[in-house]
Amino acid sequence: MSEKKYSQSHEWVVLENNIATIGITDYAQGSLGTIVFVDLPAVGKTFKENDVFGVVESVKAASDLYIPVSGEIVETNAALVSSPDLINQDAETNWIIKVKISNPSELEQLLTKAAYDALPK
Amino acid sequence: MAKLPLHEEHIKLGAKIVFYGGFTMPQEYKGLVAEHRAVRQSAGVFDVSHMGRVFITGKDAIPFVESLVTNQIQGQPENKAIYALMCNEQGYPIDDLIAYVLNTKKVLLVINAINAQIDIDWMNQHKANFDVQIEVVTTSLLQLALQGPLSEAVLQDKITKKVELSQLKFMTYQVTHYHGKELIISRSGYTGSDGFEIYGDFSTIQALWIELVNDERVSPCGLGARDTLRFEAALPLYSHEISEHITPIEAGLNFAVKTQKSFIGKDALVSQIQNGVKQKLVGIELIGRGVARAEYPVLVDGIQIGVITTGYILPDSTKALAMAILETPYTTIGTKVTVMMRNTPIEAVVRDMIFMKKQYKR
Repeated sequence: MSEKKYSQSHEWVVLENNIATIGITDYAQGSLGTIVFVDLPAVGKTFKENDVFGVVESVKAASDLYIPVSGEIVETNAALVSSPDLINQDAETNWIIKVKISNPSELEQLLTKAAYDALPK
Repeated sequence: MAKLPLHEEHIKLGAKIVFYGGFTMPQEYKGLVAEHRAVRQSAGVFDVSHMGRVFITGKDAIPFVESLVTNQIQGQPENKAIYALMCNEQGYPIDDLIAYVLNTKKVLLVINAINAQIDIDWMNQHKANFDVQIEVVTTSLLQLALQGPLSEAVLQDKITKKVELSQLKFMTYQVTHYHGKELIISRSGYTGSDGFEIYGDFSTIQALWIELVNDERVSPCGLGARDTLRFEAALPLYSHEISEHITPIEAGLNFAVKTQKSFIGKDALVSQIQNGVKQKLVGIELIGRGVARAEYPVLVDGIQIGVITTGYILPDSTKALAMAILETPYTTIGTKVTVMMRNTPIEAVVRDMIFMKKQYKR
């Protein structure tokens, strides 16, 4: 499993055998507040890096989710359908999508944990 | 962008700040959900000094206000807080407001921040035949809202015992004193819970705010919870449930429209009462998963028949509820509709707007 990487738009990515597991950061869940709905993409759908792949809705508002790497959705986290607040409980474990990546070099553009934590927020 | 007079108090409490109605406002402190629960279970205090406050003074103060608004001002019992709408000739609201008749020559109007200048311009345009002065006191007479079941006990502890809050009924006010300074205390609010709206000068309101937020029964609450609470109580928000395109009759606010008196827009509203309306405000509940947000189209058989005005999955609920303005033929409770959520059609049903039982002390 690769080192966990982070996007400027507050998603995290872990790569294992060409499959990227993607979620949102603890900072993101904290600033959203209680999450009440996650609009998940269809399995099989393909996205390009930085496309909107879904929407996370807190009580107060809807926020777009941006895919940090290009590829095809191979799985979505079914547990989030009935319990979207799992993301509030543990954002860094409760992933949202798994993606078969098409361009591994995109991972290199992403931030290390130290660099992400140092972002002005 | 103006700062609220108590801005520094909000920063001290760690508020997240947003821009609203020309002011920098606290969105939330500890979090919207905790603040929503505090108001339903205990007490929450809101700085609502962004609301516009205007004194109408002079010999014709009461007849002037009477001519502008839908509800009856003259002949009401003393010390009433009167909810009303100020409409144009076509019956569309310019704003909704609370009127307090302070004496025969002085009325306090509390108006929405987003409409304040429009309202003042409208009043100035219509005062020619009246002996009145219009004095905007938004920055000198501040306003707090203390809301929730413990509000009465909390506030009684802070003020002079000469006013017994237990005797103050919903939508009435009393003038009292706090550290020797005058306060207007109105049993009213925008949450559906029991509570008070409190008006006073800067130093008085600041001292009361500090005392309230240091009371363990009271949570400071921001605009986020203010909106979920008023939505749960199905109270209208200007530019959502009422607007330049939605009349008070269409929004079901007939209780605040008195047709035995004269006011601007009366003929149009009387016509709607007698002949029916083309659109009506209703409740919506999603059957499919999602959240119905303001502006989402509502469809029947692929044709748009209305629009969501406000919607939430409220704290401690899994139901996606909304209010929507729909063409009248589709407003029967139980009507199946489709809400378009970002190009995804979600099944929904028309329902009543009783999302909670209001906890007013009448």
